[in-house]
Amino acid sequence: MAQKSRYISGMYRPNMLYGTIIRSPINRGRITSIDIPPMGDDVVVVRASDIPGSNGLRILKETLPLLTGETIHYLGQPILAVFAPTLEDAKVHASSVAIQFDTIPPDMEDRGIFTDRTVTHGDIDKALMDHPRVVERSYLTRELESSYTAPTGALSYPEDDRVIIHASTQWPFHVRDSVAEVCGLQKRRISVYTTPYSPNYGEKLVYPSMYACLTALASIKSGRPARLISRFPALSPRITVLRKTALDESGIPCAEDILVTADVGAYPLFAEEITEHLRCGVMGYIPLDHYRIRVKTLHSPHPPRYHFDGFGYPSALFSSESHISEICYDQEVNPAQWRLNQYTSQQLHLLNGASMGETPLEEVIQRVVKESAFNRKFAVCKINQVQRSSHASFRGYLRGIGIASGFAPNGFSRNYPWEKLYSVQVRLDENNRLSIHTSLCNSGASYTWRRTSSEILGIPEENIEVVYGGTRELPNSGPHILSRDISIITPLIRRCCESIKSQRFKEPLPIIVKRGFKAKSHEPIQEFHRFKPFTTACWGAVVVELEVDSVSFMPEFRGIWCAIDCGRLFNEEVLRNNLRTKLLKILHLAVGGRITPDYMPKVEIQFVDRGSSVPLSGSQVLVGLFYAAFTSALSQALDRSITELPITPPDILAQLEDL
Amino acid sequence: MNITCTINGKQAVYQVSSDMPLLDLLIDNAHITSLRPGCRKGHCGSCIVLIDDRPALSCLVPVFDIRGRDIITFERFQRTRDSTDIRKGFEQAEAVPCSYCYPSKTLITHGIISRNVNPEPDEILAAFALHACTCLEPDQVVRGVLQAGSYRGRRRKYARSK
Amino acid sequence: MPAVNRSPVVYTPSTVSELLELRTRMPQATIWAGGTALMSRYYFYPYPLSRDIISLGKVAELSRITRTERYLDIGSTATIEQILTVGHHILPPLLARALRQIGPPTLTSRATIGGNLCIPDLRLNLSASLSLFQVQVELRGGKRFGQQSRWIPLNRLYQKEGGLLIQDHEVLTRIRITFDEGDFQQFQQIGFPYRYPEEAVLFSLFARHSQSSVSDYRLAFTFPRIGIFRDRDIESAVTNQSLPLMHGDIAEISDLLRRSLHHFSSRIAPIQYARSIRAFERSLTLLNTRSVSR
Ligand SMILES: Cc1cc2nc3c(=O)[nH]c(=O)nc-3n(C[C@H](O)[C@H](O)[C@H](O)COP(=O)(O)OP(=O)(O)OC[C@H]3O[C@@H](n4cnc5c(N)ncnc54)[C@H](O)[C@@H]3O)c2cc1C
Ligand code: FES
Ligand code: FES
Repeated sequence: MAQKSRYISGMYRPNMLYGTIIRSPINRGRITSIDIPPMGDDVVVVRASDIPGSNGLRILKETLPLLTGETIHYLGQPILAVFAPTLEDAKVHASSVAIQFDTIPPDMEDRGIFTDRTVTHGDIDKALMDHPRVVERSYLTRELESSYTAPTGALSYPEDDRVIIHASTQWPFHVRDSVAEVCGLQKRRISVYTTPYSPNYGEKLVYPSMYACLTALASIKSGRPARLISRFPALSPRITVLRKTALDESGIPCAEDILVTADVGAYPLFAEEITEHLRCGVMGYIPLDHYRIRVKTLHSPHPPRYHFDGFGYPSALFSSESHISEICYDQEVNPAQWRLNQYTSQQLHLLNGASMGETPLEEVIQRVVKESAFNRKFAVCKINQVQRSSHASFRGYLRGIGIASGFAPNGFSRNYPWEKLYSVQVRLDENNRLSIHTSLCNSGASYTWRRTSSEILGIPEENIEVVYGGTRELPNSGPHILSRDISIITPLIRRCCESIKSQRFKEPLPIIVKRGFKAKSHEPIQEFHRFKPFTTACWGAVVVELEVDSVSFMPEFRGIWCAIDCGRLFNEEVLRNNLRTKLLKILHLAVGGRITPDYMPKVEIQFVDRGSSVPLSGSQVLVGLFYAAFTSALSQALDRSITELPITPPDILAQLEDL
Repeated sequence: MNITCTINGKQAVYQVSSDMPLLDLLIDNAHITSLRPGCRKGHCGSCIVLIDDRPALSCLVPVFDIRGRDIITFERFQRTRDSTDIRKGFEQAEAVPCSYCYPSKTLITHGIISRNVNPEPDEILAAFALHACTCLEPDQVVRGVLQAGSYRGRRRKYARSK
Repeated sequence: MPAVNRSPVVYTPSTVSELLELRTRMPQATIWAGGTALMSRYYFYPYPLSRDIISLGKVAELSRITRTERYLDIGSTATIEQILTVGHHILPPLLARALRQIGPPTLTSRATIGGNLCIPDLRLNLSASLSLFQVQVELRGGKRFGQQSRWIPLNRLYQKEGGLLIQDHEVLTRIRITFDEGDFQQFQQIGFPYRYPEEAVLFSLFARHSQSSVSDYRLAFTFPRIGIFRDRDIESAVTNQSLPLMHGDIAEISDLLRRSLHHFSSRIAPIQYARSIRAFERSLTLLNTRSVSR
């Protein structure tokens, strides 16, 4: 049980300094003066001018400034950090620093475009003109902020000739490389350890590196350990998807024009990859002769956005699936039946014609439809809706049920320029004990890794250890995002074990095997049509049934049913619990936190087992499908198109406008 | 201000500001690691400690108010028989909280069953009402607490009979 | 040792007269009851300009609860939990519910009734619920200010727009509730008054009725950031009706409420407005059901 493990807030070293960051209170502007009053010998102030190396964090191709030199690019941009023997002192000293700014008025703020990619096929404009029935909707996922999270932060201290860092990071090697560049140190003189974190929540990709650099600077300057924990909120990007869909005589989409815009903040971190994920997520499962998909990432004076459920994919999937339901409502057909009619073929194709081969889509839909008694409930809700001739006199039930189905990729897109080789190492020692070495060691997947190695090598699980350590001891396994622990690391560990199996009893012990992963070299897509952007996909379907309370205007969930193909299942119970937890967290976000904390609707999760040997992560697909099923159910309950998230009681009221 | 109190059985004196939240004192001065500072405003329920054997939200207690009091955190409580009742109870009910919630859930359960080993479900749920907990379903929590209560009851009866 | 000495001085009087003496001397100091509302403020600590503190915790007299046949006399630092325990069998259901809904024992074992009534900018579960009964509160001020003790009806503690009418040198010391028998009582927390006060409405209702009529009807809505709404016209409009109310009657009274709410404050948010109307209409329907089933 991980209660033994220490969150960064529980880490302490004697003589430690506590840090706090002074951040920009304005969106855009210039610092004209900083006045730091005398603070005493044991207070350390870290300013941009104190940085011996480069004042920036490199995130793949982009650079994010660490401390503001002169120009402020976003609200909350760090300006300086104050470290003192107590947190209280640090905060009080920080409040005595006077900073003057020249602000840039909002209308002069730079709100440009970072990336703008369009793919087209056929003649979309003509197709939209030629077809009389066009369904047009705009889907919006606003900035979502996770509420109470395990804290994000870092602790650094000198030891011998090295700097030791503990950080709540999903990417320990990024912390190391950043500290090396910022502090002008050699990488081998830095060792980074990961403290427990919840990958679902809080920004653990970029901010921990930032905090680690600041603590390392303070620690080098003072010779003392330094810790910094920040609760700076991390928001997901705001994503809008505008869809115009032409329908043929039988009501099936035949042409679609899609415009996606994602506000990614002041720096285009991961913008290319976000574009790929959005483009894939909006595609849907009906091949079209005419389409245009345009994806823009926009600039705004906000902090770098964080990505807790993939790079915008769930928002894109939400738009695709809600849109299908909207099309069904427009035609007054049952959205589950409609999906089953369209997706029966063994060979499923995406909008761009890419073949997904045989998929479990039909099966997952069938399962949730059956378990939730979708068809009956849908019919009842529909009758209710018809009976409600006018909302003004209506004071009864507002009930609805919605469905969504589809897939989410695991891992990065095929179009992603990896510069590095990431690897894991497995060692079988003289006592037949197996140790697994990976820098993603904080991952909840370790259970799966031990199980799968145990199966391959016939070694009892208690003799298998996932080694905890720092960047000096462990191989660089890359960032823990997009469920890479499951999608990339698990197969690598399996390959290591297979190799050990073949050498075992032939070679002397210990046997050490290392396997690496490098994405195929990056080639710009020549032809998007028929291009399949991802290699692995996790399929699922979700049904949500709810009722809107007629006094409080809060949605009350009557049931959530999910069916999902997570590939190989190692421990169904654990996985089910994890997915349920994930779903409830998302539910809180989707209703803007307006739900009593102990509120727990009934959630049923079934797994479809197709005899696959590799596990898949279901969290991204679940999130996107939940968003879509939830808004569809709400649309039916309110008899309005609900296409924005999160949705709170005031929003619901605004939709009803009946008072 | 000088604060003298007993933390996990050890008496100590701290020189800190009078209005500092107990949560901060415990983490930064007493180096308690089981605490999970969440919201720091009384909303999330993840900072529970026992003050004179009753659960309290340590982010809402100022240190001037703990002078002379006895504070127990999960580190110490975990090693008691009272804690074993609760662990066994939750295990028996197949309702083991995740590591983030574990310390607080355990201490709140202790608060409930110390007063009544057979509490009403409503009372149990009310006690956990702040917890933004997404792992356990309400009836799992109820079963866990009732089971813990029954272990506690049996143990007390046994102790009395001796 | 903190390098910056900002530690507020904490005064812990043990008698009311000591307290009043301190209060007179330091009208700017923070009165500290359970501290739950104070500490849950975003920038509570470390607040660079914090004021000294007068803690009420050791004034034994203030935490006493006295019960008689006719009334309950509650010291201002009695905790919510304490009141629920002592008042177990005698608290009117409306009050019991309002108290219980404040939160779990981890909060209510510290939160005091005085604190709940005296948060400067937030009206919560107790203010309106108590004001439906005959409730007097005692305010005491230092000798220097002439009046030692004054009893006022609870509603006079607040301005029309919710603000607290307590003088700098005064302390709320006692709350005296005279019970009334009401056979139809409701308290409803609609939304989250503490986290999203701009959206929430607290609905408190006290009524006596027979099969065919309502003899006493008291109704209050709390808009946490705005204040308490109570309207005698609406109350008498309901009292003058015979039960069960017809659909048209409900619509008419509900219209009256709409108009009065508009008059009351322009700051009521649409969601609060809608919630109030809906809760009111639902309670009238419930009253009908009750009267029929008598
Ligand atoms: C997470 C959370 C959720 C909450 N949810 C609810 C809810 O749903 N419903 C609800 O009703 N309440 C709610 N509350 C508020 C709670 O009821 C109050 O915090 C509590 O009652 C205040 O009491 P206290 O003794 O802690 O007051 P304190 O925090 O000590 O004081 C509050 C204010 O009153 C002043 N004061 C206190 N006593 C006196 C006195 N005797 N004379 C003059 N001034 C005085 C103080 O100076 C201060 O300004 C919630 C609070 C929290 C932290
Ligand atoms: S930290 Fe959230 S309740 Fe104390
Ligand atoms: S048990 Fe995991 S969040 Fe509560």
